Amino acid sequence: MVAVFLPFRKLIQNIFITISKSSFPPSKNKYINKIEQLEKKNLLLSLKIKHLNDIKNENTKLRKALQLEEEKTINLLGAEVLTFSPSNWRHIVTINKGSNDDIKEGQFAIDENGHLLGKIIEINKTSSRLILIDDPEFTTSVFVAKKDFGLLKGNLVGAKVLYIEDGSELKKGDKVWLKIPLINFPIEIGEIKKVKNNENSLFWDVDVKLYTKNSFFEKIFIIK
Amino acid sequence: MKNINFKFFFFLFILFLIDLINPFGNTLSIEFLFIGIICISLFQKNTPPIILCVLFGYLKECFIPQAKSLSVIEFPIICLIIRYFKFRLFFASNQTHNFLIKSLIISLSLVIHILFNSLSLGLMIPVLYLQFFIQSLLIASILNFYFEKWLSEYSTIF
Repeated sequence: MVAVFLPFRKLIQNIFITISKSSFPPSKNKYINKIEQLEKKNLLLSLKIKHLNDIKNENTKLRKALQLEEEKTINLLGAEVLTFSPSNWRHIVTINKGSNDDIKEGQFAIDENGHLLGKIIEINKTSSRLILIDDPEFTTSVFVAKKDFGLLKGNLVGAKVLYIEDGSELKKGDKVWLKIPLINFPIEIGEIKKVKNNENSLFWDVDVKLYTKNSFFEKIFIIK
Repeated sequence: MKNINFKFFFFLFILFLIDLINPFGNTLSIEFLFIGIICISLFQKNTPPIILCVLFGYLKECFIPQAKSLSVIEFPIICLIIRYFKFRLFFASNQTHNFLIKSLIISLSLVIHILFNSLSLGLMIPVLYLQFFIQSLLIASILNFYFEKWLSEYSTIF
């Protein structure tokens, strides 16, 4: 008998809750507490920014003292994809920015999530060609996890890191990333899919699962 | 005959443009021009359309320079192989429109194309090859069906 009336009871309860919520809004104190919490958070964040600015200034001074080159700020240029390479066996795209937009060969491109997409290989006045990261002719030096580094090479369905001498400490899921000179900003490429010790070679086989989906995209960002 | 050659040219040209524009990005692993070459080689009986194969192979080399394959040589070879197997298999089975035989010939051409490209790239990527094979076989079968329908008024030649 109770089970029969249970849904009705719940319905009536819900109606009461809705009416009470709309007729009796939360008290003033509740809002005041929330404001206090937000003010606290705001203060903490502004202190953090101040602290980071100090660190940045200190870093600049130390760089000057050590006669290191000054770090560049990251500058992105948005571009649109005009065409994809018609060949199945190459992954190259043409973009709508060229030498008129101060694009140079070798500049890297990232997607909207900040993951590496490819590298500029050919420049015309109003367009350029971008070799995608999984193209068989794409190569760049990368860092693997925290201390290893090797040469990333595309293979149409993903990529491999070559010339890893000792991969015993590497494991599945370790990040593969890139650091552009003078820009203190790591660019993520992917993560390790498989690590294998190749008995016939001096180096380990490291397969990489790329973060970018190169199948179809319209917009890219070039790092200048 | 002139009309047929013009239709062949028109058909291949449209497929070449689709390849050039590539509206599907990297989502589809298909080479439409290559499928077109298979279709016209499967259709033609007397004179194999080698000149068209060489012409479009050359066009592909010129306009799609990233493709490292030697299409000028590959397309006529594929055309001749298809012609050879078509006569062998069709006349051996006494059937001119056997779907299974056609699929077999298309599959063989695709395998040769994969071999050509894997040799020129120096890579062995089974996943990509399988993807290319399945998608191309499917599209080639559909395209070949409609292509033959389109040329049905010349069925006496076949």
